[in-house]
Amino acid sequence: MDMSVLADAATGISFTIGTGSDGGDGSNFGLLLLLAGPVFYGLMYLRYRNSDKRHRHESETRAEMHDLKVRDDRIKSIKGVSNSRMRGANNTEVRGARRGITETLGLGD
Amino acid sequence: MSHPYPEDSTTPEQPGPLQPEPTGPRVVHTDGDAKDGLVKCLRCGATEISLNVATGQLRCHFCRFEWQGEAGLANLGLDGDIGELSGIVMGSGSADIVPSTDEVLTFKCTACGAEVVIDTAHGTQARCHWCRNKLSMNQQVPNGAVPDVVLPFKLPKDAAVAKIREFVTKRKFFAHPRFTAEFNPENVMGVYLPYMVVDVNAHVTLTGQGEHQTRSYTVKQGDNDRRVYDADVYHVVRDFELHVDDLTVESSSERLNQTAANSNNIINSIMPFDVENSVRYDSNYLAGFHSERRDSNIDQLTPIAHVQAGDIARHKANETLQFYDRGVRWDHEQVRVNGQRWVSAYLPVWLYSYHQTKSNGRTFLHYVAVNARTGETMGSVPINQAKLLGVSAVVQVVGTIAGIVVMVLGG
Repeated sequence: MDMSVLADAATGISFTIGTGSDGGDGSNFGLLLLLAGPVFYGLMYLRYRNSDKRHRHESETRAEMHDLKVRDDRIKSIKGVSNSRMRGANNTEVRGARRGITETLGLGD
Repeated sequence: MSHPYPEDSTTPEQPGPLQPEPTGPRVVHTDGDAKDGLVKCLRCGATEISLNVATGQLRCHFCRFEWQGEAGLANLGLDGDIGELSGIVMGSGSADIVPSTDEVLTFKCTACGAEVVIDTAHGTQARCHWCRNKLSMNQQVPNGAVPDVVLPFKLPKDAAVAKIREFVTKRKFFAHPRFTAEFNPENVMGVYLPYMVVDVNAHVTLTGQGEHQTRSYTVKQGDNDRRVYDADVYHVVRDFELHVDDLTVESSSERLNQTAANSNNIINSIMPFDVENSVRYDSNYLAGFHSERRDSNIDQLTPIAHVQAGDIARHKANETLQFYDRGVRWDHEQVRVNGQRWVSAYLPVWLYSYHQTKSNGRTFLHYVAVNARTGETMGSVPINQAKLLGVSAVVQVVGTIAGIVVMVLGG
């Protein structure tokens, strides 16, 4: 059982590193390995304490859209921006969660 | 709610400006023919009645007769078309709590005439000391103890114990040794917790900008390559009617308080419940279980419900925004609530709690909670910090060595 816990953690770390590294750059991967201790601690803390869990009201509540009207007008093109996501995008934001990120990480008290 | 008018009113009946419609909430009475006191078995007249979790029906302990409680939302007229909702509709069990209302109420036993006290903070039933009959409180008094509907327990205790044991067994390695030694899932408690169930009919208009990626490539910057993106920018509008069905919000101020100082988020996370299967409130469903009284009013819960309805609106709108792979920034959001329907409910939870006293003297209440309808399980297990920090340090050392090797080899 002990080994399975460690294996779980190892999977978590490699997942974090895999998503964090940009195109398999060796130096970034190495830097991320240097954070293995805190990453492991964080993953285990959340696995045991589940302080990040909440009811996903935005997706788990039944809801329907009716009479949908859409408008999509192209304004301009932008070139050579360095962000892979739009600056200030808020379409996936959740504001009704009962607990903020500070508290999730146990920094609130 | 009645509004008394002075009896000697002499206002002349003259045509005048049109009076606005009354704007108060429309209250649906959900305890119309409910009776306090003895609730008898339909067949033999005994008062020993409780829920049979296996069948979801009420059962007489004396003659074993079983019967189904009255269907809740639909029969009470609280489950109609959400699109037709306007203004505020509420069940009478969701009425504002009057602070001066007693928690401890006295009833006269209808079998023997003795006076029996019910502490509504912890239940709505009590046994008559003299004739041993069980008395139930089913009429709503303005202290939040009797809701509109109740969703009966469906998951038996054995199944809940097995789920809690499985959840904790998977988290034993770093668990606090004292917790592991004292862990006894047989001590799980069945609790009916208070919630408000809200239907919302809203008109939503979202206006902003969205970006669609057209190209991704690398450019040279000094000795390094840098990835950059081209995108088209659009003016985006989404306008629709939103029907939210059974949005569920805790109505106990203690459960609403979700901070790092407690693990109430655990109880929050086991939602949703199949509220549509709830039945009209009957105290006998609570026999053998604990219950927590509602202490929050609609006014206090409205901001939470409306913000959550806004979250649902944005989430639904995302179904139409796949083209904008770089995201959308809403600059103007309008969620105009045209109608809302509030129903108070007791929902069933199996709760295992563990009071941890830390080395600094502070205490923390951990929960492992099981949704007694769906079986969804979530929990908080106290951590052996010394062991976790030690193993994290070892992982750090291994990671550092591996990191240096990778960086050296990677140049």
